[in-house]
Amino acid sequence: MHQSILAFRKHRYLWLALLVTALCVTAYWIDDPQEPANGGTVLGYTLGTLGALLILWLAWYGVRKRRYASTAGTVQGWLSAHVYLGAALPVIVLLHSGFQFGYNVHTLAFVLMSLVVASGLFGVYVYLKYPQRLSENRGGANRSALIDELEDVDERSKRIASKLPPEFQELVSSGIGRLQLGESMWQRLRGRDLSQVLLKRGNDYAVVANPGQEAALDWLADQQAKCREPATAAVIGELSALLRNKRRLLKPLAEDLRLQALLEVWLCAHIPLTAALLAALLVHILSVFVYW
Amino acid sequence: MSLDLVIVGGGPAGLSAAAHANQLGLNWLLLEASPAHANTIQRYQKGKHVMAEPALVPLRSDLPFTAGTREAVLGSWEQGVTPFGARMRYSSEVVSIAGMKPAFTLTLSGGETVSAASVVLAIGLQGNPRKLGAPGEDAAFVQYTLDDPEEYRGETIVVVGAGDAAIENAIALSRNNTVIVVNRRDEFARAKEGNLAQISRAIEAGTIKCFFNSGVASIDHAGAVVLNTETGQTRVACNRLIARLGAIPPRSFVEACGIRFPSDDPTTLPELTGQYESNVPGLYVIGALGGYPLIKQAMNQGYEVAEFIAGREILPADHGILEQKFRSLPFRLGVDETLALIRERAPLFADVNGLVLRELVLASELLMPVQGDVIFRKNDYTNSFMTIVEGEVDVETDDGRQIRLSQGQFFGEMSLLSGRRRAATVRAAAPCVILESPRREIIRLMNSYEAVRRSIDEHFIVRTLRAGLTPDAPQEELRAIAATAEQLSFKPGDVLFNEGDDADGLHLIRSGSVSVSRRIGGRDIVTSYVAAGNYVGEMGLVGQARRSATVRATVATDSIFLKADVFMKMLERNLGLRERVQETVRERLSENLRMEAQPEAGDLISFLMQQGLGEATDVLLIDETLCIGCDNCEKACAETHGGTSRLDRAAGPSYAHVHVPTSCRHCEDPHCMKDCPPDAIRRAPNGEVYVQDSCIGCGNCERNCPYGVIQMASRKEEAPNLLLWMLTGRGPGPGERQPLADDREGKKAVKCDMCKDLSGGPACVRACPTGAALRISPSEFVKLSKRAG
Amino acid sequence: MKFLIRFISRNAAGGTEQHDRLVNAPIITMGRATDRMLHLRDRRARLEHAQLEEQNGKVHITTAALAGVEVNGRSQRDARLVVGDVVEVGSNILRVIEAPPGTDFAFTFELSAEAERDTDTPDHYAPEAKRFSLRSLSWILAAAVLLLALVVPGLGIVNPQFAAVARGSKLLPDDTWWLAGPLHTAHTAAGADCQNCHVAAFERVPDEACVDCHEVNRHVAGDTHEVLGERRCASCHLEHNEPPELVKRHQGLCADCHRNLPGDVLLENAGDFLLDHPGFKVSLLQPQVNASGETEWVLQHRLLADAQTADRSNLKFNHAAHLDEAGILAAEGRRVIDCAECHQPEPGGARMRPIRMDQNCAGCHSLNFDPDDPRRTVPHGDPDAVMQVLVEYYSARLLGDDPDAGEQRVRRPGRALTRADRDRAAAEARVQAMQVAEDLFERRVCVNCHEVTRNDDAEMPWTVLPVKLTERFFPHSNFTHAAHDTAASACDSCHDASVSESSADVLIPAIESCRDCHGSAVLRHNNASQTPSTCIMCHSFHFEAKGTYP
Repeated sequence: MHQSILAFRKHRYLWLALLVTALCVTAYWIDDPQEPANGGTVLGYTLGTLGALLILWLAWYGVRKRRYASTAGTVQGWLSAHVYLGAALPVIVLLHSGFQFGYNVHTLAFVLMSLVVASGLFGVYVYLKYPQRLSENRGGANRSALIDELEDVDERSKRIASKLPPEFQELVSSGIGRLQLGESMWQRLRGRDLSQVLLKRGNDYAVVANPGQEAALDWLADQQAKCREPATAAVIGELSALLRNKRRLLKPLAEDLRLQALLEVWLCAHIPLTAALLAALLVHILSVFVYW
Repeated sequence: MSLDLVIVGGGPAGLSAAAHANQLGLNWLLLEASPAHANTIQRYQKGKHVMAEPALVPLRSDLPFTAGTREAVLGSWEQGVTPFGARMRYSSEVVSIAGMKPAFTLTLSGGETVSAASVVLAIGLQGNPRKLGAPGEDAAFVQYTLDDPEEYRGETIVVVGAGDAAIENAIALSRNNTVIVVNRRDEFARAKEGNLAQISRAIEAGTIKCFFNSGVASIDHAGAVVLNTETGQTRVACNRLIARLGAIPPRSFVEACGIRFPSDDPTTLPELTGQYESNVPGLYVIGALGGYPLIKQAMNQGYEVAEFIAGREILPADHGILEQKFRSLPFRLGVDETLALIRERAPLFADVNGLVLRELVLASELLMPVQGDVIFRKNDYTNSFMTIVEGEVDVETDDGRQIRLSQGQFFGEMSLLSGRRRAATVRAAAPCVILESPRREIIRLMNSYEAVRRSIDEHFIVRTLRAGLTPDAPQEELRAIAATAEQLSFKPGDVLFNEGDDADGLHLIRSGSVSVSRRIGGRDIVTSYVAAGNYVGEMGLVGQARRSATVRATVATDSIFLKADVFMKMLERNLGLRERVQETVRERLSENLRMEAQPEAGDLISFLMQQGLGEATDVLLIDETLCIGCDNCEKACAETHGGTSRLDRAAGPSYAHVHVPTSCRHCEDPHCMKDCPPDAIRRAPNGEVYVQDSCIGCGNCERNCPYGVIQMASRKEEAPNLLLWMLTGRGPGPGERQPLADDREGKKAVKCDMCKDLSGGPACVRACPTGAALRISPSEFVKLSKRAG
Repeated sequence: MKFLIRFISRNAAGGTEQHDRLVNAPIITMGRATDRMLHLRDRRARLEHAQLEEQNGKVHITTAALAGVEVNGRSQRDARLVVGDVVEVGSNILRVIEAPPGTDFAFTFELSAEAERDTDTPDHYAPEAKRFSLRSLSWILAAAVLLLALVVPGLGIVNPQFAAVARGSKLLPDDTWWLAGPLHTAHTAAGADCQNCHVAAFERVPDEACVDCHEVNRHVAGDTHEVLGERRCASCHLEHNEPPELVKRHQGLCADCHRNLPGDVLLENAGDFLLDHPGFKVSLLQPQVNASGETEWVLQHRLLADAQTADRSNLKFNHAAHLDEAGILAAEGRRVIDCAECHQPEPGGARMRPIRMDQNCAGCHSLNFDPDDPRRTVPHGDPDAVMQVLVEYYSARLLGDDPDAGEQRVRRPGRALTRADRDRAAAEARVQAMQVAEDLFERRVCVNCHEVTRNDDAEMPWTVLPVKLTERFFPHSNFTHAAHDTAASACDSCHDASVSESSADVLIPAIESCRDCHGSAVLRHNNASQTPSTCIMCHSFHFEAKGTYP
């Protein structure tokens, strides 16, 4: 049945990663270089090559993921290995550096690598944690169903509003038009409802913040109270019932967007930093041999 | 002066017949109801690619025909027939044909009559669209078809009808027009689920206005329609009126001409001689009406029929192919003799019409396995039907026994009927000649010939009983039981029997599948799922007086019901048989108890069943606790299948974190295969249901699939080099390829083929980074549900 | 200000609908932001696209964006609007119309024709989240890294002037970014320019680069490569390392050869100080009588452990006696002395100052000869000089005219000395001097420390054998007392002088005593008190007298 990337094939790649790490550490332990441990000793070069190859392989995951016809293992297997070997990388690189740091391109490469690994680990965390929340939040339905329902509500409220004075139509249409659950990833992550609505106050219209349709509902309640004719009042009541319904529907949608954003946002660090790392890696290798 | 022949219908068959009649210097006339030739093909969507199937049959006609766009094909025929001038009479519908050779009298809708020595019926199956039957039904703004909804904008359009066609038109038009639907009844009963939901929502939302319980009273040529509504008459002004009232099937007309049909089944074909002559002498039937839906066949028949009428002998076009087929046979006989031999040896085909048998053999393969060769293996997904023309075969049952079948007998009917994997391995016991017929041919045969159906069903019953319940019961007793059996069919959700009912008999599931549930703590808990080829209710046969569980059809299901008493008698007569039955019963009980222990598991199964997975053989399930919504599955599907994804991840319901996306579940008895003119939808030996290139894009499968997993898609632009795209982002990314602007081939049906041509299995599953996507067969549902429970 | 906004939209049936909105506000804001008075759900619009405002009675359209707004086809940032003006707001069109009574300004607002046509409106509820393109960001970062860390510093290699500029400026990155580790302080001067050592790119530092500044000796005579193989300076000396240290102290560097030397080499094999090291050899000055009979001193390497090995310096010295706890008799009386009394470290503390009679011995050992006159001493170092001093002293006593200077038997009062008197006096003085000298040389003074022999020279019948002290017993070792902290550890922890009664004893500690503290290079062979010691600790590589590198 289903299997998480960590548990993939009885933690096959966890063991592999541990093995590799263990080998490197022991090698470093027993190695007795003629000079203080650094990237230039025989072991240093070996670990360096290993690390560099590993980095290239890890980066290649992005390609393999999109090589859909490829039969070289499954993408899940690759990701599982990507995660575990990626986590083993810092150890290898540290041993390669002989724990020497400084203000130079070599340490830059190391820092970039650490950032990439860190962001990756965060990615693993969200991948393992949030899908379940997402699913629970949707509660058996899916986003499009939710949106269909919302659009349905909008249509109905438009129709009802058409029976009422223009300010109600403004309320509905502006409420729909100015709905804003976060345009950018960042806003979605903060899960803030930036919606606004156009309300008629006295003789003028005012743009009012409308998180969770609150402003609109209050205004409607106000109107309903003021309203003389019971018939109209009933219609207004209908409208506010619809808006309450909408508010109920918007909650899970906003949460859905937030969680989805969470699932993606870490890539914004992981991918560009990887690119930078590859560049830094090139620089690191070249510069070492320019001044050999 | 009287005519040698009148050709009724200006389709491929008719045109070809006309052309050759002309060639032979016959005095002929062609009557076409519609204003143009090849009406059916005219109705194809623009630029649609027309296939020239079957490839191996040579074209035999004086008119050209090669695969190409609808326009090209129609154009070439137009050129071919224009010289005939007045002999081609369009817009002249024949309402009756009386008499027989050599004096036929045809009456046209105008009342005019035509007399001729022979008549060729080439009117196809499309029939004529049902008219409004109200004054002014032919007004200029009234139309009975709709080619392209996008043609009309900002109009007010009245759509009359409540069928799928009407609904689809109405919804499509409502995007850019004001649409009013006129429905004779108070609901859209005949409509498909999806259409029903859509139209209801549209009416709810007011985007479409609908007059229920209303009909068209009259049509005002000034551009308005008068309706009889519940509240009386209303006049609706409109720019256009589209009536989609279905077509009048030609059968009644054909029968009115005196032509006999072997059975009442709508798919039956009229009885015809080898020369396409019906039981009415001088009245010939060719083309789709005669059972030849493919253009090339129809044209060949047109040619041949002209020859016959001219009194010339000519071998059918397929003669060479049959000769080729038979060459390797040990009989060393001519084509007709060999066919005769097959008929003589196989009782099943005893009274099958010669042409039909010829077609069957043409469509079939002749296998010649030597002793020990495997003809098919247990769990193969093949569903062809095998008839032993010569030799013997052994059927290996589960408990290692062998059943010997000999010359004239047939096998493979289990998979044929249930659409499931092969139940047993069959080996040749001696050098054999075996006729392997494709499923659809046999189904068609069964529908036309009751005898064939009965015989096959009987064998099915007997063999199922022997396979599962009573292996060592004597053949003849079982046959006796089979004789008493009755056919039942159930719609999805129908109850076969309820918990607590009298246990009055046993159901063999012929096709489809059922779920067994028990009422515990006030709610139904599904305890198991029984697929076709198995049986339920056997508990009633070992003494329980009452049903211990409720059995529901999860999908459209056929069952064969065996009365308990008959069965009990047999058990009493055969000691040991009873123990065996009790054994199987005990196994079932224990499994059920295990399931009752965890209701959630049961709930999950019933959820899956509600999704129609009862008839699935292999289904894509997504674990929502792992799915990150990256849609890599869709991209993988698209990129491995020419740019169009066959699955929709987000769509579809979920339960207990198990999500059933919209993707093909490769049904046991695929709905999509039911009505595919070029027979382009096939099932591979491993069960994959796939669409061949021969698809003509008619869209039948899309409509027939209840799960909406088939789409009509045109070809997509080429994908850029991956690395290049990753670096530059130039060109469409994975899953972003756009349809080709100039696609000559037009849209074709695309559906999941389970990546049967890719090594390593389904791309969607292999491309899932988190292992959320999984393809499993229903037999594994229980395992899955255990995890959920 | 009263604005009238007339919204025009097309309905499904293709006709147009319109509805008005009256707004009483000083300004009308428009843009994609949801709080605008005129909200535009439109990718082409800016968040705060533009605004209508009153400027002294006239209505202007203004925008902060440099791109401006299209007013009658011309992009402007502040334009007065009059009836008939057409403004493009994203994919919407704003047309100024006659203000109906009761309003000050009116305009229509509708979707432009082409916007009407493109039907792909973004998903209203869950639009594609706006975010920077990962691809371009990746390129930017990667390019930045390449530029700053590779290209700019790299330019310095091809163009020295630029290198100078880069190193000079605070902002520009230079090739110090490439440093694998700190530069050793010893090289700060030379290391200002990497090219000084890294002569060519992608080539390892050549020996020439080192030899330019360092003149160093060969390790062995003859063709070095023949013996040492392809060793470079950098094989043993490394830069840019942490901790900054220029010499590799690894055992293998020496031991790889010395563990198993070729047969024709006279040296014994030595692989490890603790496990595989020959006993110490001291280089001693040994007197040798050459062909012409006189003794000359030659350095000889003698096995320390060998009983024969003796220090033959012709000096008589008894360490034991001097270090007697009871103390020794000195001019001012008995006192106890310690090593430091005579053995003083050289500046730097590596070795001890040479011992000198006048500084270290004379304090106790005075050279006086006349008990009546103890302040008079003979000089040290030259026997003839001693005789001369004595003779002169006594002649003066006999001939001198001071009355109480000894018995003056020769002189009679009142009369001058005759020749005969003088001769007699001289003879007399010589006799006395001889007596005293014999006493000095053979019994009382010289003989205490020196080898004195009689000869047949009537004038000067004693020879004192010259003293030659070995100054360095291990000329090739870079042993230093300072490192061994003589203050803390007592001298006798290595040198057992307190029991040595003869100056023939070589008081150099044997290898065993070093091994108390110095162990093998391989940690696990050592006990707690042993510090891992590699060859380079005591031995040096470039030692003298083997010629210098070309």
